[in-house]
Amino acid sequence: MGKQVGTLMLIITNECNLRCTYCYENHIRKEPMSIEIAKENIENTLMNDKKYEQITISLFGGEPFLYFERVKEICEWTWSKNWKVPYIFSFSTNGTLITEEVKDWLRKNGDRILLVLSADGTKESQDINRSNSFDKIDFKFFTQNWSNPQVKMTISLESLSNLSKDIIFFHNLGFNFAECNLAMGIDWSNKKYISVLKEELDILIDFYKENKKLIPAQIINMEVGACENKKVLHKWCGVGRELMTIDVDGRRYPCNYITPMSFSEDELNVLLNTDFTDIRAILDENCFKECYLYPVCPTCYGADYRLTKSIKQKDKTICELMKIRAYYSAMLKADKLVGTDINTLSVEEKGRVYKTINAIKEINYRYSKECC
Amino acid sequence: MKRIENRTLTGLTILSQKIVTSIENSSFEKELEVFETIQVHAGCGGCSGTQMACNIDVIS
Repeated sequence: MGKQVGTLMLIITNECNLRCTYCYENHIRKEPMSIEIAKENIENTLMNDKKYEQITISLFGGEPFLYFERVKEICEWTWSKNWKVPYIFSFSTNGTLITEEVKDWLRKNGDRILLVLSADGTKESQDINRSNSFDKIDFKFFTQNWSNPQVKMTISLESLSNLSKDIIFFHNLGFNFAECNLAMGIDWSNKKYISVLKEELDILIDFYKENKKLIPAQIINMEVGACENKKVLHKWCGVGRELMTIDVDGRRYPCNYITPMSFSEDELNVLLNTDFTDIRAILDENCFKECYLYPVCPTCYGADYRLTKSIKQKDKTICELMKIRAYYSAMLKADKLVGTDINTLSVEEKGRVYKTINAIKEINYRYSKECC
Repeated sequence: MKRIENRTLTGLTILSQKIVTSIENSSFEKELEVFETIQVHAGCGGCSGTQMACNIDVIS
């Protein structure tokens, strides 16, 4: 096996000042991670150049900026040393605790920090999903100080009807989407969400047709061409190998979802006895064998277990919504591809376009009746 | 509700045929393999958007 590109995720604190409606972190311990535990894990990782090629050190929570002084000390200690493995720090923050002092420090170190704002859009959605916190976020701080400002937007049952407004809101501010997806680990089976999603995606189709330079949010930008690949097994994330999560007490977990924050001791025992490096041990065979969308339908093993109580069974409450997402993604790609001058394409690009066209036709054939 | 229009599908079919005829058959299948390496991000947010540790394992 070659060297890994990976993420060391340090859960600085379980605590958060918000209570988001879809949050999976329910069992909160008050003690933050000690500086010593953070340093020990950083040192073990960044000195291991035989194993790692490149590392993202993600300071996670809870909300990491509840403990700004600790975050600052960890980063500045790391920056003061020479390490064998190239690395960068990243923060996922809800943006509500970015004081003037924090802003000064972030600005000063902006070239060695990836900062992702976790927020849900317009005031209406943000306040519904995330504890009335819209007015506490300085969105311009993110867009004015980072050349590629990133936002992770989560769509809840309550904010789905506001989806297009929320996405357009972030585009108008100048954000790009690190992620924009339906909340995981919650039940989406109610049929009413199907018509709501279609109405919202209708609006977004028109918006992106008029704003062709924008990179569409992930909810309508699935790489449908991958459905035409020779069928291969996917492990969708770095769980258990490329992603190393360290909780506040120094214990290691497979990912940020599969920790004592999210599961009871009994549930966690089941999950921790799972070999996440064995793709067949975590594979939903039915999805793999039966579903055309399998190659573009990522899963979160922790969220699936929360709903299905089986590590090998994906959340099926989301299947109908995934078909709609795929259909609209195909529609958007179709409009972009029509009229393409093939003389401007490399051979590699031609291959991609060819497969994407085949996938668009197949998705139209399979899903147009239920999507239109 | 919007739908993929027939004239769009017709346009795509023409484009697809042009691509096929523009590449010699001997290399076409090989070139198509490039698509198999496409990464689909899991979207858990754990990577803070870097997508670095995402979807590494793909086996035939």
